[in-house]
Amino acid sequence: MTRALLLLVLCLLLGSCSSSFRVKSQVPQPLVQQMPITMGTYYPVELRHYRYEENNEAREDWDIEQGDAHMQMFSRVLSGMFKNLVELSAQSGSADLILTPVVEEFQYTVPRETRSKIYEVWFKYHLQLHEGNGRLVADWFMTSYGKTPTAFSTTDADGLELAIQMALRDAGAKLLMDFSRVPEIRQWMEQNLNQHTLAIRGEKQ
Amino acid sequence: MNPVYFVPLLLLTGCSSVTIDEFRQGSTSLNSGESIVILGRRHANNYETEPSLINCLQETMADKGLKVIPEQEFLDEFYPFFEPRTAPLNLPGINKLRGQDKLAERMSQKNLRYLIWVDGNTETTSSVGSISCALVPGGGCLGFGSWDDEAGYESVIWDLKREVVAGRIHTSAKGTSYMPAVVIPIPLLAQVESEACKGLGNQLSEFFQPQGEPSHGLQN
Repeated sequence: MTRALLLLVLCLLLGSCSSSFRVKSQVPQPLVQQMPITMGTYYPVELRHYRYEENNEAREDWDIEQGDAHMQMFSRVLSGMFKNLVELSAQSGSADLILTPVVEEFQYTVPRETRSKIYEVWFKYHLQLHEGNGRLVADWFMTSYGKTPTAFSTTDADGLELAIQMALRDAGAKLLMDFSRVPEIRQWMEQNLNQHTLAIRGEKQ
Repeated sequence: MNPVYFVPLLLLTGCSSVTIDEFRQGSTSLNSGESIVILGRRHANNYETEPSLINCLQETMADKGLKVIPEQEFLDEFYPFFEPRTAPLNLPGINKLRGQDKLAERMSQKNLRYLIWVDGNTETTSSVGSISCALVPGGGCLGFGSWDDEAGYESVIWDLKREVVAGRIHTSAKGTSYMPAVVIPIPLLAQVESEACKGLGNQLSEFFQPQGEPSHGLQN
């Protein structure tokens, strides 16, 4: 009994015993004008099963399961951006465009590493956009950032999870705002969408 | 020692003071059915305006009969336009956003008249003293600590109907907390954030009542 109590006190002093958790996306439905095209999504295995496992011995032994959260975020955002959204099993199929997202990099800092009172998280996504026939339209990287102060969380796991939630919201916002600013996508839209559609979305003056 | 002796100690708090400066541009009032939203600025990289402060302000104003949309509800319903990366920093920015049909339509549905941005935070600026505790049976703590907390919040009120900055309110608060420890530590905390909320919340509520003369330099 005394040993269990001491272990509990030790855990509380260290901040947290649990260093593995699963992230859920809480990205809301976006408030944007939909583009009248069918967008396909291809979520490769690297994204579906994406998890971060800490290898640095100087850091806590994190195991953060994130694949579902990234897929949910992309599906939620894209369903708001496009009239039709279909999930495909390859980078070609019955869709006007097909987006393939992969998490290229994940970085984080906890307050004791930076001596700040903030948990921070960065994602770097590698995005590819193909036409239905498999022709590559665009290939680009997108970064997102999320932070949360220590005051909002009781453990490192809570703090990191909140920061990841914020980074997912930020990724969705960046995709929504910048998608049609990617030069190759802009060019594709000008060739394939009519002027009226572009004007509604504010893409054309 | 009789535990009853500790009760008055627990009821004690550290001391704090609040200063509010208001600048009002013309008259402001809220017509029946019109709503307000209070949003915290979150784009700075070294601090965040606390959601707890925004919730507190919202509750203070709602208690005075004002129709206030909860911050998280607003952020979700207007996603992605008020995220840290995308939120407009000035009135021309929001006027441009209102060119988006869906956003303008939702603002109209919500009958949104005023948007209040609150930027700032509460932080500990200095601390002195030390407390030692022994984690063994029969052990305890001994020592004394104290620390200063300071809050600074700048609020800007956008009148979305008249498309002007209706006013600004600057709130600063500071307080000192103490923690004497004889066997057990007894925190005497200065409620700096909640005092700032109380002062700013009351001032904002007054802001939306019709007034003849603007008020300046109120001390709480």
